[in-house]
Amino acid sequence: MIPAAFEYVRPTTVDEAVQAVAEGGEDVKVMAGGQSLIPVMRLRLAAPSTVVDLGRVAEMRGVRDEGDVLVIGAMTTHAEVIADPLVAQHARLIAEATETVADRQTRRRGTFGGALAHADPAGDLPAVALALDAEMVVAGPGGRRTVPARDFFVDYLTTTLDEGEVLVEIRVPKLAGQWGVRYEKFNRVAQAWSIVAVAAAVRRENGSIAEARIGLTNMGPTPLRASATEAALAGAGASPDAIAAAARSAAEGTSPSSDLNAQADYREHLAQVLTRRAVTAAAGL
Amino acid sequence: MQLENSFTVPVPVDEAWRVLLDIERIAPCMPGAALDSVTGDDFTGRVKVKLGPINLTYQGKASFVEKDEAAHRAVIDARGKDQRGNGTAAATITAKLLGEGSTTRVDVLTDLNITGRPAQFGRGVMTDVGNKLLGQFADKLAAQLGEGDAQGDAERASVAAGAAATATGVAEEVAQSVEQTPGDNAVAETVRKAGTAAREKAAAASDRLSDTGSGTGSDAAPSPTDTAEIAAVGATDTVSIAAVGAPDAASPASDAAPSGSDTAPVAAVGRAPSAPPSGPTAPPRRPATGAPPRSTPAGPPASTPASTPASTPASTPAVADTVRDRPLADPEPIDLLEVAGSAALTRYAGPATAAAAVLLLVVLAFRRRRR
Repeated sequence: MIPAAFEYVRPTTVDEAVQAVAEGGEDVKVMAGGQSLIPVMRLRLAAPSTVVDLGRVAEMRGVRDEGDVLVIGAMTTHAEVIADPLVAQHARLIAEATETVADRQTRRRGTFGGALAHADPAGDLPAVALALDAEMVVAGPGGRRTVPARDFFVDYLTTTLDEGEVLVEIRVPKLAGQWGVRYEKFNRVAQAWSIVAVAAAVRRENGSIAEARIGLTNMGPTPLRASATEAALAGAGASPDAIAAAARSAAEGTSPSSDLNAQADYREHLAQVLTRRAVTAAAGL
Repeated sequence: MQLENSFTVPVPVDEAWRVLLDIERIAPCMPGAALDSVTGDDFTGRVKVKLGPINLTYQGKASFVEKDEAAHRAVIDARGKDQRGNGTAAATITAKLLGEGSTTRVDVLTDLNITGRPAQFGRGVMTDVGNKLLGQFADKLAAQLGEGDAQGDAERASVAAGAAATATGVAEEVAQSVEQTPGDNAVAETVRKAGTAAREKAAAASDRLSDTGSGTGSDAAPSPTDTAEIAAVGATDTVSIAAVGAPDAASPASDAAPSGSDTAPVAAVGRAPSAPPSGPTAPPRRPATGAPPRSTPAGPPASTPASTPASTPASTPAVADTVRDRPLADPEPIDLLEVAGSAALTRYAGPATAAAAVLLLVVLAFRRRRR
């Protein structure tokens, strides 16, 4: 349980971080909160030659308001996200999902950006970022670029982040109008990863559902949107029956894996049930 | 555990068989794989698997234990171990090729056994990784074969154009150019040999032609159509181009040239296209690099034709990657959180017990005092 020896770099600005990553060679690894990386290193499944710790990069921390967009620094810890008044006001879904992430100690160190860049399919925040159409701002040797969440997650533990690139901040569009949100997570043990989870944001207008956005956690190698359900809900009446009917197609287009926690067909069933619950709660029924 | 995968490559079964058995050619198509040495049917190499923060490098050896050309079936036995001591991987990879016209379906059955920590990562992950790696391998292989095809088309076009001038001359010329195929691998060598043979035959043919007194001019007339036909046929199969074209171009003049089909499976290797397709003789171009449709394991691999050499790209490493598993004897998945949890439990059990004892004492003392 002792990691292999590695070089340690702790830059204080984004530019320094990008440079440190570039100089770190092939086996360099960026560390945000270290809540996934350190366990893997202790198991010696990872043995990076250099670890670049972003913990002292002050400009990557905190939440700011930029008009229609909420900008969350990648190094903002889960605890800070939960307590942040701007997040509570404009992106409550993020706060709600973050509250279910691991335990208090992990939330104290783990970061929003770290969870997204790690891209664990069972992680809670990627599906939320996807449901909210967030954009990732990525810094690399060639400057900065912005990647929409739907393009950011590529595969199991894999994102579009190239080697040498660092996730700097996440731009979350504010929800305009009457939105209700809900994060429904299913796991067997408190603080464990999701077996399946559903993030839902629903906009109501004149008693019916005008728009719904649904993100699915752990229903495939990447977070997914339940597009069939979203389409069925658009313009539907805000009644339990209509929601239940739409939720039945929640698992369409997903490819959940089977493991000791759940078989694929059970996960599909969970996706339908959790979608119904999440949308019902988000619609205020 | 057993993994089943299948993919399609855009070449006929005989050529696919040859290419897929050429371990030096297919190894670079495998993501993260590197060959260290090849001795006959034995080879050693490394496979690097990278998955998020996880990084494994399996080093080991592999060998062909069976090569059944008639059934197009190959079996590779591979074993290796992680460089950092994270356990071992062993695999028996059975590949079967099934010809489907101008394409070949490759069915790969991998019997994989992984020990150590990586095995504890749950089946879902391993399946995903195996499928992902094999998918990348198939795409790369198809792209490589497709490139050969594109070059082949250009070559065929030039052959057809030349044929209009003189059949035998062209045959000789083409054969010569094939003979000079650059590249120093075994495939190139085969092509060159085929080229030499074709050139000699063509030369003999033209000699005979002049003996009989028929000039190239009149005989050449039918040749354009012949060649064009040949070229069109050639278009459907990816690789055989130049060499095939050469002997066939010779044949209108005389039958001396050998039939092209066996000559050179991989003529296209490394050759630059010699001329753009010209006139109606140019065969239609096929998209060069389209990834072949990949199907996941369908039913039992067809028994007949196919064999599969290649998918196994793999030396040992493939093992690690291609692996997919099924229930039998799966190692218990490890849950990082559980690992941390039990560690935390043991760490905090002492203090927690002490705290509980103190609390109990205080409560007892409090109650006694009240009495």
